[in-house]
Amino acid sequence: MSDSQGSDTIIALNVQSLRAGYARHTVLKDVNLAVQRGEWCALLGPNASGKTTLLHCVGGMLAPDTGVIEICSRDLRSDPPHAKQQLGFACAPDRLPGLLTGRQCLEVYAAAKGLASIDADVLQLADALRFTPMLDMFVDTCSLGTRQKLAVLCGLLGSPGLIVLDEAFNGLDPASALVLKKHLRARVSEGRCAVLLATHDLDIVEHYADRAALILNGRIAHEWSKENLSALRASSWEGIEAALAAASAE
Amino acid sequence: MAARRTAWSSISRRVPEWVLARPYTLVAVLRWLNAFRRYRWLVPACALGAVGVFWATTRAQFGSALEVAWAHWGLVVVASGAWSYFTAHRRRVRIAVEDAYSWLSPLPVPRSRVLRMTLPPGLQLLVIGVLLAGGALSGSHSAVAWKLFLLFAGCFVAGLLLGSLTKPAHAAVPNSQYVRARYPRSRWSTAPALTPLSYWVSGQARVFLKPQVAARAALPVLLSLPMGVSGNDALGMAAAALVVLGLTAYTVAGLRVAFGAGAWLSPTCVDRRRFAVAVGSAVVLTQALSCLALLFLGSAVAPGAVIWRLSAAAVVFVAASAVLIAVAVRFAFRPEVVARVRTLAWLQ
Repeated sequence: MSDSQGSDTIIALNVQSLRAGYARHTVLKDVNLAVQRGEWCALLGPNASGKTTLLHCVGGMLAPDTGVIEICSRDLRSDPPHAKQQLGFACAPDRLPGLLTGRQCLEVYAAAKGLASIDADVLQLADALRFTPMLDMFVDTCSLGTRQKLAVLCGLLGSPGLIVLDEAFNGLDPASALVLKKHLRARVSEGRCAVLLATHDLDIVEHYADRAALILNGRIAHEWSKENLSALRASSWEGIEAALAAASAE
Repeated sequence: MAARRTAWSSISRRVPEWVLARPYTLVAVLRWLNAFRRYRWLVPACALGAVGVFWATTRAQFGSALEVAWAHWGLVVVASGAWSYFTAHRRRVRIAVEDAYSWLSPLPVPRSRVLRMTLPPGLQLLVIGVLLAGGALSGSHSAVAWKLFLLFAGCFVAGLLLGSLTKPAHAAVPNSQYVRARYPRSRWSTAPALTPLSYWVSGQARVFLKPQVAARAALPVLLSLPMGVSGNDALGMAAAALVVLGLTAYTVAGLRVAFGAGAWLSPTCVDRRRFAVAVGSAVVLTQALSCLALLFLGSAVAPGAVIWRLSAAAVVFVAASAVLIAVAVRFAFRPEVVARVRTLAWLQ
């Protein structure tokens, strides 16, 4: 399950020559992306550029036309159970089942992952996010932010090697967003996982991400390494924003 | 990886381990249990319904109906097989879509496709069996009931197998992105109007009237052929069924759009009458024009008295549609009603 855990150089996600789409519409044309464990990669890009499609391919929800996706060195196509065992995917809040309670959703996810108990740090995070009082509410009675918290908590269960989040801070109040960012940063810094986050929030790129990739027209158009981001942080706030605008205009 | 019951359990201990090990089935079971927990009135309502149905099965008329069905066993064979085939086929498509969209898709768990395919029809068969058994135990039609049940079950299982093995015509993958449904009105930005609401109704009605649905509506009528109905009469009945389906589809589409668009536009200061006209006009105009065309064509073959009666029925039907939509619009702007309708959407 965690054959190379502890190694600094383990590739948590390896995407090669990925091509995917919906029916006749090809969204991802030739995507190559690698994220190492202990790395927070922010996936940037304008609306409808293919960010969510890429995440759905990584989550095994959309079968790619061609290409390879490896999660912690396990091929998603040939060995989905072991690849998905290392995956923590926070689904979109509207996909959570409305007639289940938050507690039941967490339990189903934990049981599905073969956990004997809900992770203590996930319960602590639920507390810190002030989600605990909402645990026994039906999902369809919860607000967007509350459902977003639940989706993220489900994704964090079982200490996955790769955490995939799609605009997971949408709808969260600033205090909860800060708690979640710090929690994810701590996991990444401890080398427990890698985070792939699709986002429009440049604050995350500036303060939390180790790398950023810009996806444009179904291709990774630009990547910023840790050093590049550090240099941009050192320059000014406009540095990251201007770099993103320049890369998008290329 | 096999799922286990966690120490932090919120799931009833009565849920068996084999269900727990299959998250897709587990979620379906939990949804049903929660629905009964949440809507307390469902328990007495279901109990009352069950008692009513059981009572009906013990009546002599039920026995007579079984005798008639047994006399036309060919109809039972085709009806149960077709029903089972179509529902199994639809379920197969739905499961494929669910596998792509579900919140459980990213999990390393078995998809339990066979169980998901067979459990609901198995339960249906069980319920029918229990009803027939109840009737058989209390009445004098036990022999016919059992023979009919065995025939029905055999054809049902055959239809189920056939429907499960038939590959869907189109791949059930997400394919709805970026579909241009209709070119915009030329003055949409300079003179915005509520007109697109009527397009919505037409589109919804077309969805209801897709060929698979229309074909199914005509099927029972064509099945009457083995019962001695002449070909001309059967074709006439099929045509009439399609007309009624078409007209009803527009009314139902209007009601659906009234609630959908009402919930969306209720925070605006939209005039309710304008809204009702925008939604209802498509329904009433389409139905009125369809009826006129049909009456005109019918007048060539049917006697005058029949045409007059049909004309009266058409007027009543169109007027009833208009009234229904007006009432729906009135309710659609009341948030508590909309919320209740939405909460019960899972029952559909």
